[in-house]
Amino acid sequence: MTLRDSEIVALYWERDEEALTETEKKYGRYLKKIAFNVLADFGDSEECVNDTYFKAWNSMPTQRPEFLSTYLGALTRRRAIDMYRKRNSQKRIGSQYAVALEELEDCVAVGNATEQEVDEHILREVINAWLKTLSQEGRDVFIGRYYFHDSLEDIAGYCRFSVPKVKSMLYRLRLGLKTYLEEEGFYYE
Amino acid sequence: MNKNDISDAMDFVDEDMIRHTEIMRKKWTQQKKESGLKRKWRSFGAAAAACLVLFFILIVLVAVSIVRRANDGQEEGGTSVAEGMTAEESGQSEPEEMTASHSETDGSEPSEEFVAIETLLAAGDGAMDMEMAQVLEKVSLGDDTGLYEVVASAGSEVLTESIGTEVCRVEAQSESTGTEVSVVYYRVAGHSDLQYLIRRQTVTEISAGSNAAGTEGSAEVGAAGTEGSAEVGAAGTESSAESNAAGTEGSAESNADGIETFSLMKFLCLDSEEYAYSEVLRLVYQIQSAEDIAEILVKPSKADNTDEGKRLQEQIGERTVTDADEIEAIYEILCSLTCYGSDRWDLIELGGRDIDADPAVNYSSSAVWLGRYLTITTDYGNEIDGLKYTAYSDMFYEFSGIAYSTLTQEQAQRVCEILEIDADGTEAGGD
Repeated sequence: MTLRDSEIVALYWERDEEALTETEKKYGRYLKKIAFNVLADFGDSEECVNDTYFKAWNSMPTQRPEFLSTYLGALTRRRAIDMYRKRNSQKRIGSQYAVALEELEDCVAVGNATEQEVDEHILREVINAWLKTLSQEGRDVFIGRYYFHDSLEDIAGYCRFSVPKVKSMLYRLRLGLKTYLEEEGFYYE
Repeated sequence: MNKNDISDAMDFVDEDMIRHTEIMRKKWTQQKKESGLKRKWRSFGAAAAACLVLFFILIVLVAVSIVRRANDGQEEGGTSVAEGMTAEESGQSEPEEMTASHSETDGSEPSEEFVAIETLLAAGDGAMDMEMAQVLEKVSLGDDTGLYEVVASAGSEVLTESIGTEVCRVEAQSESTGTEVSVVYYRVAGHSDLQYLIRRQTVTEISAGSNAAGTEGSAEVGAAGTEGSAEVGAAGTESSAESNAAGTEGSAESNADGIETFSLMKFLCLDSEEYAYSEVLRLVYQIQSAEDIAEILVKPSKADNTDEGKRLQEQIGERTVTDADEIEAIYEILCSLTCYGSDRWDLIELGGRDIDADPAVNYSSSAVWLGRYLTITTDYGNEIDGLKYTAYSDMFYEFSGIAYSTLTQEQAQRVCEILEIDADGTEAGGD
């Protein structure tokens, strides 16, 4: 029987190694999918997820996440992207993340090649604020592509749209984000 | 700023938004897995059915040849071919497709006269007598399973005349009781939504000499390789062919084919640990956009029914939301909610039950002050009357402990504006 998140977190707090077994059982596949979307390699994904378990073990206590899937998903995403950046310099990785990252060029103003120093905190707030202006469908599509790095087919599946519709939605969303960032002063002439 | 900055900033998107997408993904993955299993079972079922048919053809051929030999001048009175052959099938029809195209069936459905739900409910508001045991059933809705409860209805005659299209059916045999039970769930005539279903149960004897049908039909429902299973059961009771609680089921009717009972079922929640409420709005209530909502009636909470509580309820009064922007806002917020299923009182804080309460403070009154009961009327006339809101913990909930995710501060503020809840408690709301 699968334990609830609160029960698994309790195991972490009790330093019971059963927590890792239960985490793997409940979220192993989910986390590997997130990692694979970035790394496009089963071995690397496995390594990434194992690093996630290690991080989770070290972070609880003191953390007590309400939703373990979201918490672990974020850890995995972060770790996978770090691994991607290290390994991509040696060997081009053709993953969904790579494609999605190229798409995000649309959100960066043309001519903004100079590395304008970005206040990360403000950027996070602005992106959150922008996401809240979207419809629920728009949010799901954008987050599906640029957080989870799912393929267009997968996004079309769970959002119940056609692939061309997802493609055009993403394009409009990227342009919308770019406009919003400009209005918030993230680009300069 | 470059694309990596934007990608990195996505790490810090609000958890609620991530969570909603996560649930959509998870549900889709589960559906893919189940349809893969269903395909396997269908192949298995088809192969098994083919073998069964071949087997019976063989039996028939052998029996025919025996009869011929007997008729060709040997002893008379060959055995009847049909004797002893009981080509029983415990087959199950597949439930209708319950996908986003559900609403598309409106145009292609055979024309039925629209039956207003209030004509099916028992005298009064059709609510279950709170002293009766809550009878719950799981009903297959295609890719989802809904939990339905029996509600007091106007009687089997009315229900029989109000049957619409079939949603799913289950057939099974019980060797211990010698009965065959068939349970079919129908939409209400003229409806494409799944809020209310009419349940028809037929219990027939499968062999002479067995116990009379109509006694306790504790049929085990569901067979390997079948789809659309419904679990028949009630909290602490067994469902029986004859009505066992006044007003909960229509009276049983005997006919040559067995005992039939009819009951009216009302949707409670999906049978899942968590799911997006937008799925329920779309699948069960046929609400695809805010335009499908005609109005929202807002009443004060009935958490306190003392004289003072009633006075407070009267002071708050009722309000009907008809403004399109406000309805859209409520709709968008409802679509963003995650539902955690029923019996989740551990997640719901109403504000009237503090155990360390200061006796000088009337906490029940604050539960009234901060709580509202909503009735959403759809553009086709159905009423969704289960949703409640409490500004105490900024969350929607329903009776039976159906809990929803907490609203963001912004959402909570907007809801309080629309429902006219003064969270500071300095002014009364109402029309």
